[in-house]
Amino acid sequence: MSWRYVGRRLVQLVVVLLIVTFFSFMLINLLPGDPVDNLCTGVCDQEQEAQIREELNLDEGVVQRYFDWLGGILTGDFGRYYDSGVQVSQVLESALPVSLQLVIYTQIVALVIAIPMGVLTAYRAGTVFDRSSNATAFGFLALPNYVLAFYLISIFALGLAWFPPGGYVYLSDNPIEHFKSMFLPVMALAAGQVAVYMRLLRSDMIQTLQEDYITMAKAKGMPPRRVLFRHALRPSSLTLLTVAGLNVGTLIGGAVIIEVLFELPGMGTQIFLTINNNEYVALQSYIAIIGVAYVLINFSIDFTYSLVDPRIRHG
Amino acid sequence: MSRQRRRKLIEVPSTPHMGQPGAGPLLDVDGVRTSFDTARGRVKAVDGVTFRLERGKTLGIVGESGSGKSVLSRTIMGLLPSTATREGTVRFEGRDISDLSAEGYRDLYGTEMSMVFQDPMTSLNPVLRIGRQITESLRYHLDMDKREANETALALLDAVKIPEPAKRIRSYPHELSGGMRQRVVIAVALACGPKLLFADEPTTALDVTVQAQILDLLAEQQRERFMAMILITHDLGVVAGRADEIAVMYAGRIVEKAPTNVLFSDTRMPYTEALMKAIPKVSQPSHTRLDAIGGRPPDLINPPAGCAFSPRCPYAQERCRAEPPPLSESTRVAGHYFACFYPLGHDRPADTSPVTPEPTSGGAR
Amino acid sequence: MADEIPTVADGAVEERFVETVEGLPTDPEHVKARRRRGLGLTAWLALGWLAVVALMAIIGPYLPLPERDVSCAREGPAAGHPLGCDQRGNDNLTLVVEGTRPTITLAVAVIAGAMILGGIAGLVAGYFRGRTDTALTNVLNIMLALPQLVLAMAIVRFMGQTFWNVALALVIVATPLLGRITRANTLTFSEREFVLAAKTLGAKHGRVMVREILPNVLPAMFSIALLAIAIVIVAEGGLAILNVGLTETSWGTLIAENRGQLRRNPWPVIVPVTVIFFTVLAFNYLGDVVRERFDVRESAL
Repeated sequence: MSWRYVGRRLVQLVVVLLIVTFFSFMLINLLPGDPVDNLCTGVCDQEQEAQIREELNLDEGVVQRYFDWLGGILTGDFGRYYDSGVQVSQVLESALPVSLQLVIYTQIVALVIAIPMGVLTAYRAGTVFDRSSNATAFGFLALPNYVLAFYLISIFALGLAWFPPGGYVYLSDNPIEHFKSMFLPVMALAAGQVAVYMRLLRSDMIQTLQEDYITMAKAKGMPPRRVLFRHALRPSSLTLLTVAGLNVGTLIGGAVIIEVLFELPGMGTQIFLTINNNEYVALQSYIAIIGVAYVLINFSIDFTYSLVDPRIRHG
Repeated sequence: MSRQRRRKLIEVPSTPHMGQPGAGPLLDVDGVRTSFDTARGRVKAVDGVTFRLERGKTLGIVGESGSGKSVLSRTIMGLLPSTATREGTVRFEGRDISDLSAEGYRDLYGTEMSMVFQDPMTSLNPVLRIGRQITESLRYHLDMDKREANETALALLDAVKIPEPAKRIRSYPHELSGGMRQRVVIAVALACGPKLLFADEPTTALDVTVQAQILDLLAEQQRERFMAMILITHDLGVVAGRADEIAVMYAGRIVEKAPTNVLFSDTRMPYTEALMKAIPKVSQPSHTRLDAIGGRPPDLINPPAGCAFSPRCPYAQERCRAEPPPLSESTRVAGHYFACFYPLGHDRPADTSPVTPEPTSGGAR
Repeated sequence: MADEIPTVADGAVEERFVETVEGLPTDPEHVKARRRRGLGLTAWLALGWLAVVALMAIIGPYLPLPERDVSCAREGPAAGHPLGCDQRGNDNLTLVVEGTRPTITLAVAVIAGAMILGGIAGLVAGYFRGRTDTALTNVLNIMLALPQLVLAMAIVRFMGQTFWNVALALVIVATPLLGRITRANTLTFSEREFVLAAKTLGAKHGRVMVREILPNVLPAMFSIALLAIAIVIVAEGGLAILNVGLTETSWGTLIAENRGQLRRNPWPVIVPVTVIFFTVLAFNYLGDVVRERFDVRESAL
């Protein structure tokens, strides 16, 4: 593993991170009008305005302000909410775990359903089972997550009252209620993922099942289930795992609607609130965090790939 | 069949099989036909093959690609895709195994019959360790526990002459050379002590230097275990010194079958002669031109009316193109079968009239 | 018979078998399937639905539909109001028809804009390669690193909640995606001989791009455009829910306004939501159909 290569990749990573954070920062500052006015929207007095101006170093140039802000971020100062005065880092502490739980649960559920389905539809490719599963998968693929969410809420929460229609319960408070409150949101998000993963795995499995070593495993007298899951699944799962990993990055930013609909106090809800309440400083931080997370996840996956495939390593 | 009943009396795989004398042939193949439905029509890959194989003997099946030799081996073993149709009977140790269920075949695999495939690069699962690929069969078929299976696997790796087996057992396939991989494949095939081994082009994908080693290895294991072997290849040179009997296939049929020395000394089929001419011989001066067989392989969907080889046969006559010659036994040498109206050798039309109209199943040798 | 693994019933294994046996190629299954003439029933259903939607968009406001009827408020399906009413008595069917025009107009406008911008960017990047390509791709990737929905939300919020600002926000989000696809396709095609031939005949870059490459890239772009319209429709709904969507009645705003009432009367939400679902389903299906027809190599998804 050449250190020069690693060094080069890390430098690329840092550059991208800087650019992404810069863009997040700039987004807010491209606002038409005076930042102070935007933050205050008329409710501040002279003193508060001066205070804000000072805090944000509004006298300095944009680039200088960016580095100030970046410095703050790196030391854990994400700014504050101007309405309530609460520190963003505090809010993050409680909101981030909620969003992470949502993302992780979704991936787990999606994989747990998609993997057996992918294996079975590949095994029985061309049969009625396969075609109907594919059709259903297609349906779920096309189904927007909030559409599904509304259906789920109407039927299971309001109609049957099996689950709460919204709200969040902390795992430490009441595990059962926690999972009940997460169940519908996770289902709404996971449905689309299941479809994508299932098709991906199916496609790779069909190819793998034609390999010689599968015939060889059969010729050894191994039963179908063993051949499928112990011999065929592992070589076929690479693409699936890669996409699943990348999706974690995508989901982090994409679950806003679901969080809002189900009233989950995660980062998505915070973003919604901050945008609607003109809390631009907090918003900046959130966007930056999500962007950075996405870049880091992508980078790790890319990097792992290059470790596995010697050809890319020296490319 | 429960696992317990499947457990063999043989504990160590190198104990030879001793069939009761006079119990009949190990393998009895009768009129086997296999065809596939494809977009362009029905492909008759195997078109009426009959032969017998005794325990401990080696049969070499030789033919070009497209002759049906690989399909034949898979038909006997039952490894065909569901789109294939088959006819004919296959008997193993007297039992009819022509049309078993998937589970039925699984009971046979590993313990009764086994196959070594052509390409060791693709026959081994790239993500599983070598040891695991061997011990899997042992544990599943012979009910061994982990320790036993590991020991047996080590013994097997030793038997196939892999250096440092204790280290290699934990290797992945890509860490081994082609020759070593094929040895591992052989070890996997032999693990549960099968009575019959199919070797489908076992050396084609290997270096020339390694080929002889692998073939020697197979022969040695076969002797030690008193195992029957069907050696399938396109190269007559491979089976020359290693088979008891050779069957030459063309267009899905056996066109000549004889004990090895008879085949070489008294070749009757023009096709066999052509195959022999294509083998480079050390006795020939270097840069001697090899005679390739002119013409194209036969169309298996619409085979020609007469003898399938007639379009390419230098001795073909009218009769050859009109009707297919049946496989018949030579009147001079018992056990020598060929399908030709005008065979080579000084016996001309006189001894070509068929003894029986259909492919015979007389003595195996 | 050993009809379990690895016998893949779609003929792929059989074909490989026969290939090994006779060395002659057979038609792969999906080629056989494509020779089936005409479209299937599902495709016609999809087209039919989209035609209805288009009709609603165009002539919707002029149709004589049930007006506000206070007696109907908060009811589910009843006589005269087959899809129920909202809390003010507006008929849900009327509302959804009314809402069609803004939503569809938005979607079409956004996709048109994104196709033009993304198409140009993709063509240029894929054709010229080298540094132009690297630069453009990097910009694309940075834009895609930021959470898309949030980006759109921010833009609308900052610039005001008007139709064109929403459209702009969505164009900014959609362009990188379309650009990426165009670029990928352009890369493939710019290697082909007919492009080289055109160049050797002295054609200038612009001409080559428009005359030679563009016609080949368009089918792929078209299928993606269909999928993208679906995504924009969904996005419109999403933005509305988050209070950064359109202000006039649209499918999205219907959902947003009425979701507070979900407990008491789900119909005003379920109706537009279902309409969105069917429309998106139709676009997705047709997009798939177009892709299968024109793309020789089927991708995994």
